[in-house]
Amino acid sequence: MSRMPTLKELVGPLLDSLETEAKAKGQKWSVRALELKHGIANGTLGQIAKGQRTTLNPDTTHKIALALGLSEAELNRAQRTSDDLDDAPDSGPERTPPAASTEIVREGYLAVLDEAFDGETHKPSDFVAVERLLRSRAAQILPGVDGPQIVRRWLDAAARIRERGENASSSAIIRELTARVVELEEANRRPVHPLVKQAQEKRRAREDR
Amino acid sequence: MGAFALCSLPEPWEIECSAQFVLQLACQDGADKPDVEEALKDLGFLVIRVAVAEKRGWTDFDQLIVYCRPSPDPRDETWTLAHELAHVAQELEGLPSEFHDEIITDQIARSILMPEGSFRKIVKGLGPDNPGILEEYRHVDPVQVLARTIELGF
Repeated sequence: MSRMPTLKELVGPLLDSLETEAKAKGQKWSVRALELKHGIANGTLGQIAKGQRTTLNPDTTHKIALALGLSEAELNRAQRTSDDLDDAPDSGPERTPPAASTEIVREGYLAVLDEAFDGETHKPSDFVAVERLLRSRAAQILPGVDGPQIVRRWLDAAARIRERGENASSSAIIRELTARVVELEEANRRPVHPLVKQAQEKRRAREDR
Repeated sequence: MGAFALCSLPEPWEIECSAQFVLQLACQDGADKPDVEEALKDLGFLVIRVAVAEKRGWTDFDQLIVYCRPSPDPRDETWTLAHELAHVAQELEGLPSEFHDEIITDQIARSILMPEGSFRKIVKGLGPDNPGILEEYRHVDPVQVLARTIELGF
């Protein structure tokens, strides 16, 4: 089912596109500079892009709208979407905690993402892209597996895709990861068994028919 | 090697045939326990561990990549790789993946990990002082050891 973007989904990609635009013009750009220029508290935009902050007061909403060229209505709508996703259906002024199991999984991978995130290499949109991948593909960081190390590779993949100016969709990240791993392991690849080659040829012939 | 007839389930002897072939690959150099990962590599496959929880493992026969979900329990990975090797064995027998039956694939995987001859020998040799079958096959998921025991009529 389609839905409006959350605050994070709205702000993360915008920050990236502003940066790309500035770079293309040869201008210096940073999130901090943007915050300073518009009187936004230090770290607010980064927290939004990481999904750590899902609500804004009216003053900050106004400033962010100006900084990112959005309308306040768009930001308010995104805040409501974030709230709808995070809150229990009948939440009143007091927030009801979401279902425990979902929250544990979500908190678990967000913590791993946070740990893996490297501000120098990765951009907020890389974080958003990998978070989306973790959520949409039902991927989990499994116990006993070095989660941050794996997620860091996913973030690196998202960064490479972004640097090429492409959309870091979940499937693009998976393709990138596979291509990278294949590339890295190509050197160690053993010769293909003749029977496998034969079976592949038969298969292709079947598919061509 | 035999060839499976398209659109029909393989006969038990055909399953054994596939299993024996991959077993030979897996038990090279006189190893007594099959090394399924080595067997896949010998066939030219890349084994990649991906932490995606949707599937335990899957095989891309065109790209020659076997994906395996990492697990802290090595028996899980062994089983996944044996299952994928069983898919490869069926492909080599001429049975396209769309006709692979998961139950039969599991049966082939058990034949690879616990070949009939040695399994029977171990079970028959078991006495009060001998280690149990689960101990003998401690590298295999106990559920699969039990399934093999039933499968072979013990």
